[in-house]
This record gives sequence, structure tokens and C-alpha cells, in this order.
Amino acid sequence: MLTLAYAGAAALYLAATIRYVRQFVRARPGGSKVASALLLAGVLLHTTGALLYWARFHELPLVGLGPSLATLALLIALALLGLELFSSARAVCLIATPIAFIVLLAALLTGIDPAGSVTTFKGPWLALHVSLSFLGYAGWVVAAASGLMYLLEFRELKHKRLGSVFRFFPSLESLDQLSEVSLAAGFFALTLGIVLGLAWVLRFEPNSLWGDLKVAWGLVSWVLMLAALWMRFGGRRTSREAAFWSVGGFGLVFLTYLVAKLIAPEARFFL
Amino acid sequence: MTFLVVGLNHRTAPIDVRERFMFDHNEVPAALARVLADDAVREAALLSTCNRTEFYFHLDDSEAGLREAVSVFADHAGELPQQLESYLYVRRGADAVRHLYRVASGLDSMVLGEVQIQGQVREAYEAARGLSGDRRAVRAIFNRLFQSALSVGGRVRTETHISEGAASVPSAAVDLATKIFGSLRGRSGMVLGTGEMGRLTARTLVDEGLDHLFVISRRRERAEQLAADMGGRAIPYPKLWDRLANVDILVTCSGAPHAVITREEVERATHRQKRRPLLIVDISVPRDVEAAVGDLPNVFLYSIDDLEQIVTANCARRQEEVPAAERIVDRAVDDFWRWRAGLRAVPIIKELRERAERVRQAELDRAIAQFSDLSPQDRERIDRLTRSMLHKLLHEPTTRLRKAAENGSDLDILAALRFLLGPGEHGEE
Repeated sequence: MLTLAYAGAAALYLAATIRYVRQFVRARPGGSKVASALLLAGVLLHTTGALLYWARFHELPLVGLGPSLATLALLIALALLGLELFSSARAVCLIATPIAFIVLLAALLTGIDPAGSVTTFKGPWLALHVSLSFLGYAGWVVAAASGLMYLLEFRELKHKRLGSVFRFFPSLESLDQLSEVSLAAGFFALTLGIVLGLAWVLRFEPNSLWGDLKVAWGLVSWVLMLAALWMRFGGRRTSREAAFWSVGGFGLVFLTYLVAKLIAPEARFFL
Repeated sequence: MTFLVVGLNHRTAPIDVRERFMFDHNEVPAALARVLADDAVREAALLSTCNRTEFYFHLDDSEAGLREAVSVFADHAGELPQQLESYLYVRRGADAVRHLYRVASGLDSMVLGEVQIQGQVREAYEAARGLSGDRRAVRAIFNRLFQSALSVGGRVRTETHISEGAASVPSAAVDLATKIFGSLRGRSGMVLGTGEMGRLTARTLVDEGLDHLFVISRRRERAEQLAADMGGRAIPYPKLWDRLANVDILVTCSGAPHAVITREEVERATHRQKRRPLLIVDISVPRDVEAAVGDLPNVFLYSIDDLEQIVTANCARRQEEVPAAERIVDRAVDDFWRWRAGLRAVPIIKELRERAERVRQAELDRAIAQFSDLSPQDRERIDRLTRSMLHKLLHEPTTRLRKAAENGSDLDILAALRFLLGPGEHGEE
């Protein structure tokens, strides 16, 4: 039942992605009611999956690779649903919905069961740390997606090749603002998440602080996000440079994660 | 009973002729009253825009409508009726209905798929509907015809791409601006020169919501005139570079023999506003802006050729949508025609119901007279009961009769019913 709910959500994200791609290929501007409905249904089913997880394991799906990825996908999908409902930049869903689908698919392939030291992960303290950190990454996914769209549209406008991107994407200004807001919000959430995590480690496992890859990765992410924010708010950078940093920074974080997994596949790593 | 359209448009008459035939809003009621004075004309509407003037009729005799329309046109334009023949076209019956649907959809417009025409059709319909006097210009048939025309126009625009993409140079410039800046509210623009195309582009930008417009020209008085027309502000030519640092959109149409906007000057002017994009629309020939300006990082430079290419591509895309739009129109014409055919059953259905009601009432009165001790409540109950029985008995035959009339091929059924009912008041329509 639990896996079925998550698999159903993944199928709905995939269906929504197909709708967005179809709309993009047909160069139809504006929203698609069918895609929005599919995304909404996916989020509802995904949330149901999380509730079933809670009912079965008596904890949030935050421990272990599968549950963590599933929660990250849910946060990304929720952010996209917010965009669908309240923003003119809903075309960002074209890029970010497939990310939510892939992340959830990876979770399903890994298996959505709790892993790691479950007892130590119980309680609101750590749940808040993980949730906030994931919220930070979800914000960065949206910032990177809108940044990428900004770069593509900028290129099309600059080179005067006005195709599907020109017709389907929102204005550069909307994408820039979305990237800015989601990056700032993501940074705020990630900072809080890291502070809570550090406090937890210092309180319960002070010796594991410096040897833990997870901590190193979290700090690398935070520094890269800070750099992306600095490129946006500090100095006189163009929006294009800021978008490049949103995308590049996120790419580096992802790359760092892959390297960490390759170097130490057996390490206790939350993702 | 048929439909008739008589009119002229951008295909049949040049602008100077169309101007003479154009009716002002306050001239429409008198023109409609005049054609409605002919008893053969049942309903009428007059659509008058800068690209077309057309009379729409629902009438008994199309020749009478044609005669009236030509007479009104001739008097209005100050020409002899026989001089109008070469400009006018006439559509009858289903072709007239199809014509209105195509007009409302923008399929018959000078700019394919333009959206304003739908509002103009609505205005013509409202004007005819609001006509006061002895004769109403709009009754059931025209209500249905015009409402369906507006609905078809809406469907064509939402179900096809026929109205998407800029179809003129000024609107292409606005499309670019909104794609870069989103809303133009809070944005500022500058027009360099006072050429006609620049004026049109500036007007379109202002209409789209541009907040501040500055006009610069070497001829100060022309700049002031244009600024006054657009609600903008004229500024002296030497202030060009200072002002450029603070604008989002620059439209150039100076007509100077050489480039007046150089890369160095733009780079210097925009240096302090590095984060802010600048859209330059150069619609001057020869060009006002050095091509190298387009290489600056946050500058989007578009020449008249670039804009025309955008317009050409958009128009080609709109053209590709025509078959899909025509299919929607054809289906709607069929629907309307079926609905209209169904009206043939109305008089006989009415007669059938009236007869049944008379019988019911008579039988009810007789029955109630026999039961003098019935309370008013019981009488009311019996009345409701018989009414309900009658309604249920007649519902199915009525629906089938209407469908038979809509199909057209089953008109024998109507004839048979007429025969069964015997002589009555039921007419053809």
C-alpha cells in the first residue's frame, strides 16, 4: 500500500511531465489545467504515502536513502504546486517536475524503508533539522530550474531565435525573481537546518563531527549556496551571471554528492 | 425566411472608400431604423469598423434587404447606388451565417486572428439590441446568431493558435519587452526621433502599461508634440546619454544617415546599471544603432528586419491554424442551421400544447363541477396532477418533433401531425 502510493505519485509526476513537455513542444503559453491537476493529484498521493509511512514506522520518512529521497521529491513537488497556483512562472514545472519524478523513482528503486540508527533519529529536533535541510535543497532545485530557464531564454532573445522557449517560458524578470526568492528561502532553510544539525551532533555525537561525510557535504552545499547568493546580491552582477551561479552551484553540489558516494559508498550518509 | 450580409471590407474597397462608408456609433440606430422600416426585414445589425462595414439581415425577402442596405450605404457615402456595386459583396443563407462566424473569429480580418474584431461584433450586436422604437432589431434568431458567433470567436482563439504571436512591428516590440521585463508597469522607455513607426511603437508600449516615456529629437518642437500625444516628456537631445542610463526600452527612429547610438556611448551610459537589461528597438533605416551594441552583455538589440522576421514567422504560424479554425466555424454553422430548422416545429408544438391544455382545462372544469364539496386545496392538487400528466405525455413527442425538424429529412412527420391536428393556427414558422 505504502509503495503503491509512492509509485502512484511517481506515475502522476511522470504524466504531468509529459503534459508539460507536450505543451512546450506545441509552444502553448500559459498553464495546462491537466498538468496542474496531475501535479496536484501526485502531491496528494505522495502525502498519503508519507502518512502511511508514519502510520507504519511511527516516524517521518527522513531516515535512509529511500525515505529521504521520497521526502525531498515531495518538497520539490510542493514548491512546484505553489508555483502552479500562485506564480506566473509555472513553466518552471517543465524542468523541475521531471526532477521530482526522478528523485521519487530513485527512492522507489532504493526501497522506501527506514534505515540507519532509527532510535537516534527520533524526535522533533532531528526531524526539523532534516526537513529544513531538504527544504533548502528543494529551494535550490527551483532556483536552479528557473536559472536554467533564464539562461536558455536569455540566449534565445540575445540571438534572436525566438522559438518554443520564447513562447512557452515566462519573462526573464519573472524567472530572475523566482530564482532569487527560492535561492534566498532555500539558503535560510538550509542554514537553519545545518545549525540544528550541528547542535544535535555537538550534543549527542561530538566525536563524529569532523569525520562525517554528511557534515562535509552539508557545509560544501552551504558555502556554494552562499556564493550563489553573493553573486546575486553582492556586487554589480548581471542577472545572467546570478542565474549561471544558481545552476552551476547546484550542479557542483550534486557532483560533490556523487563523488562522496563513490569515495565512501559504505559511509553513513543520509542520502 | 433567410439571412443576408451586404457590405464591404479591406479586400473589396480601398481605405478612402472604407472611410466614407464607416458609421459612427451614434449613426448606427438611424441606419438600423431605416432598414427595419421595410416590412420584409425582421432583424438587422450593422457592423462598422475601420476595415469593414456590413449589414446583417434576417428577412423574408433578400432582395428587399439588399435594396435597403445599398440605399443606406449610398446616402451615407454620398454616392449613387450603382457606383457601389464594385465594392459590395453579398452573402445569403448559410453563407451569411458562416461569414459572421469567420468575421468574429478573425478569419476574415486584415491581420489574421486579430482579437479586436470580436469586441466590435459584440458592440454591433449590443447596439442593435439596444435599438428603441417601434421595431426591435434583434429577436430570438439574431440573439442566437450573434451569441453563437461570439462563442465561435472565443473557441477559435482558445482552441487554435490563430491569435498568438505579434502580427505587427509595434506589437512584436511589445512582445519582446514583456518577455524581458514582464509587466511594463513601472518601466520607462525612450523614443529617439519622431518617425511614424516609432510613434506607433511608442503608442503600443504606452497602451501596454509603460509608465514613463521620454521623447528626444533634434527638432525640439516635434519631440514636445509627440510627448504631449503620448503623455510623455520631451527632453533635450544632449541629455540622451544621461537619460539612457535610466530607461529600460529605447526605440530609435531618427532617420539619421548614420548610426547615432554607438557601442562606447551605450556601454558608458549603462555601466552604472549593469544589472538592468536594456531593450533597443531600432526601426530606423538606415539603422540608428551600431550592430556592435548588441554584443554588450545585458543589451537586447532588435532592428526593423529582426522584428519583421518575427512578424512573418508569426503570421505563417497563424496561417497554419486556419484549417482548424475553419473546421470549428463549419461545425458551428451546421449547429446553428440545425437549431434554426428545429424552429419549424415550434408553431405545431405550440398548437399541440395549446389544444391539449384546452382539453385538460375543459375536462378539469367539468369534473370539478361534479364534485362541489372539493376544498380549494384538493382542486389545486387535481389541477397539478392533470398538468403534470399532460406535461409527461407531451414531453417525449415534443422532443422528437424538434429533433425531426432539426434533421430536416423528417419533415413528413411535421406534415403528418399538421394533418392529424386538422386546421389550426400553426404556420410554417
